[in-house]
Amino acid sequence: MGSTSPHWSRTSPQGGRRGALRHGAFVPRSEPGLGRDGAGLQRDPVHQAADRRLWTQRLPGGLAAYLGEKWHSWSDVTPPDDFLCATLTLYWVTQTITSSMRDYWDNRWYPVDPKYVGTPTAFGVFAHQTVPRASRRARIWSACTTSSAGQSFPAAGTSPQLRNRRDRRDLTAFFRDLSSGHRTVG
Amino acid sequence: MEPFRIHVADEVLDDLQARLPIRDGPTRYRHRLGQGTELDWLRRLVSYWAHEFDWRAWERKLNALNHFTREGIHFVHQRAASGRGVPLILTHGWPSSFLDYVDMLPMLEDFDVVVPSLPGYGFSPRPLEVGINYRYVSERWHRLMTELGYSAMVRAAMTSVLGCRRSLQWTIPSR
Repeated sequence: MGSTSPHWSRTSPQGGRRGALRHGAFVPRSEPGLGRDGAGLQRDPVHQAADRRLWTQRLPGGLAAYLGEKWHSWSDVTPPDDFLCATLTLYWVTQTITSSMRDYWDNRWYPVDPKYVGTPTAFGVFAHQTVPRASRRARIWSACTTSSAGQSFPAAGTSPQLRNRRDRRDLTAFFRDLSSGHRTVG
Repeated sequence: MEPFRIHVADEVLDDLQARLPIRDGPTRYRHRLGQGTELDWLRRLVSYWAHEFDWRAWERKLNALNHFTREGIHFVHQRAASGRGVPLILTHGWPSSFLDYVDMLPMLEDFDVVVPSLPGYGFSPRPLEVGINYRYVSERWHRLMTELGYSAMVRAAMTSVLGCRRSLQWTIPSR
């Protein structure tokens, strides 16, 4: 992950270390270092979700800009406009961008204890995902599929049909191996 | 278990339409990754959103699926064509939604598929208290699937940044 390795700054729940959102003022740009590996989000002042509400819940263009940056950073294929606009509309009409961002705050300050996973587990590896930590937690079973082309969003490719067929194939293979007692890595 | 149908009021869509135009934009600096969304791309997307995008068509497509709500959790439930398939719960990530899996559903007819909206996303309101973490979601998923009659299940998650770690942690309470 190079220079953009995960970094969790130690700040109080009320304030950001960077001070980019002091006094409730928003900064309509992305923080430097929001990277292709996704680790940059952990430096994103997204934890101050209530402040971002100022522009992402009042200006749909602001919402599109904010999510658009994520779609670009975390995908190697820009999702189709129609799909993006449906997602944006859903976030807009339900006014849930702020409440969704609280995931990061809640999981930061109320973390789940990391444990090894005993449940038979498969995971897909796609571009721009931080996989190594996850792989260390699944020792019992792992059906690992690596895709050099892909993204974090399962239906968001320019060829969702192809992508979905691949997902189903991988899923089916996992069950087949599970029932036959084979461990699959590859 | 309450059936759920998507319908956004006209005035909400009208209000959205009125707010869509980008009248001013930031200065066009030479763009590079890490400096935010590229302005020309944003203008093109918002123009499509304003002039070509048809939310009502999406509503018709989505309402062809079986939606329910249960204790504040919205979900799509598609039973296997055979009547009883392997239970599969598909979890979206951020900044995504249950829409991620809609195009995948026709290809999963061998499974009993449940596609919930995470608390605080889409049609699942987020509880007001803090601490709505992965463990909370995992337990809600487990309860939902149990109430649907599934004693064992397969969980799948597509997440954005935290990647597989989240989905693996969600598997812990599975049997």
